[in-house]
Amino acid sequence: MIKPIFTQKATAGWRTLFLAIFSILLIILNLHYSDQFFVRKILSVVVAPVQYVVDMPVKLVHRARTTITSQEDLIKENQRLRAEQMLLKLRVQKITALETENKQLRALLASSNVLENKASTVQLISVASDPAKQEIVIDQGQKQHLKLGQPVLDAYGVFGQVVEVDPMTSRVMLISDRRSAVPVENNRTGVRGIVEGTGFVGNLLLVNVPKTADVRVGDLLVSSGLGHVYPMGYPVGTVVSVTTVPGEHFAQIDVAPSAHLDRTRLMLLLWG
Amino acid sequence: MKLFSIITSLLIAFILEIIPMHGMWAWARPLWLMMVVLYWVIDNPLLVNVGIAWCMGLLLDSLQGVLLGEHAFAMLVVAYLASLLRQRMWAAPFFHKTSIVLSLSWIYLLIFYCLQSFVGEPIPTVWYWIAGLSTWLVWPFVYFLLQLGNPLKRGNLVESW
Repeated sequence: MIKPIFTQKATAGWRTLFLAIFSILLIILNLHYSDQFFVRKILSVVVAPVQYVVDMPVKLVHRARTTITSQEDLIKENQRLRAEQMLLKLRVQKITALETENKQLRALLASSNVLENKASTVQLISVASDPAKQEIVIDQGQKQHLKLGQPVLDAYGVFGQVVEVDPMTSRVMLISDRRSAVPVENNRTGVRGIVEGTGFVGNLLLVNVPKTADVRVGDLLVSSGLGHVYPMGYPVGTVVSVTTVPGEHFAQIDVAPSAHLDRTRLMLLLWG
Repeated sequence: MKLFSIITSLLIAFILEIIPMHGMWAWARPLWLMMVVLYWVIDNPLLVNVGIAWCMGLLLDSLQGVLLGEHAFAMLVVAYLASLLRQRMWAAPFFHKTSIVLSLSWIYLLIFYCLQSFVGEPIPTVWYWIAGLSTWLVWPFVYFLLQLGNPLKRGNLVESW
């Protein structure tokens, strides 16, 4: 019998066993403390540069495009924006009147719902590479005092909520994620429901609506403010199809999100 | 010099792991990091051992936002299996090596799938398994590039590992 000289394999076995146990321990700790887990916070700072590096070419192309634009185009765009601004201003005039009226009515009803929200803009820096998740990473975190569950909107509607706050970045779960549910009401009829994500961008489901309920294709669903995560009255999606299956209690209602979930780089973060 | 190639290749793998891919194509993302770790574990087990493989998996967990330890565990098992198969890999013909890579990447996916089903969000589609095939398809190119970047192997690219 030859005495073994190279015992490297044996130590590799022990090391593997130790690390395997350690990984399971980490998973359990991570499950327990979820996003408050300090190891997660440290690692998020370590990997942040990689996320910025991946985002850089996109940013450069964007910048190059803006510098290359001709003056003529800029003038055209300026005119278009001016016209748009005029239209929006017109609408705002009406809204201020409506808002005061609404406030008076609410005062009469003795209800204390606040309609105005403070907002700040955030930038997307990375999209979750795990396709089972509908998450993005934004460029603000603990430093800007972001909070868990803070709602995020874009110019067109409800976008998602903050699910993890790290020192420099945060993760936002989109409303199309399978874990997401948004309490909504039908803008036409006022019927309440819940919109769930399916895991695919561009496809949401309005769930647990009885077959007899009045839901039609084209109905706009706005957030109802129940559940205290998403503020009241912002568009969530429009109904694209209503299917009733004989023998089922509920109709299957497909909803297309209002927010541009896979196209926006700039988003609004709402503050309580 | 070798350390430089190792670090650069790992960095590139991390970047490839999070480059945005459109729609369903995201499921076909090859296991870039696993390929690079696998290459170095077999090429130089003294510099890249199972411990380093585990750390890389942990960083990938953080990057992808899954529970810490999931990728780390899968990476650890694959690296350990690779270190066991090491001598065989040296001698094996090229086609044999690629098929080992295919089975290792499916083992990796299987471990991740099980962990995800137990403690995370279950994986929604069967397209998940396509990543093994895409890994197998890009492996020869990755292998070739890594051989090019490997200071000791530039002389004989195809022959040994």
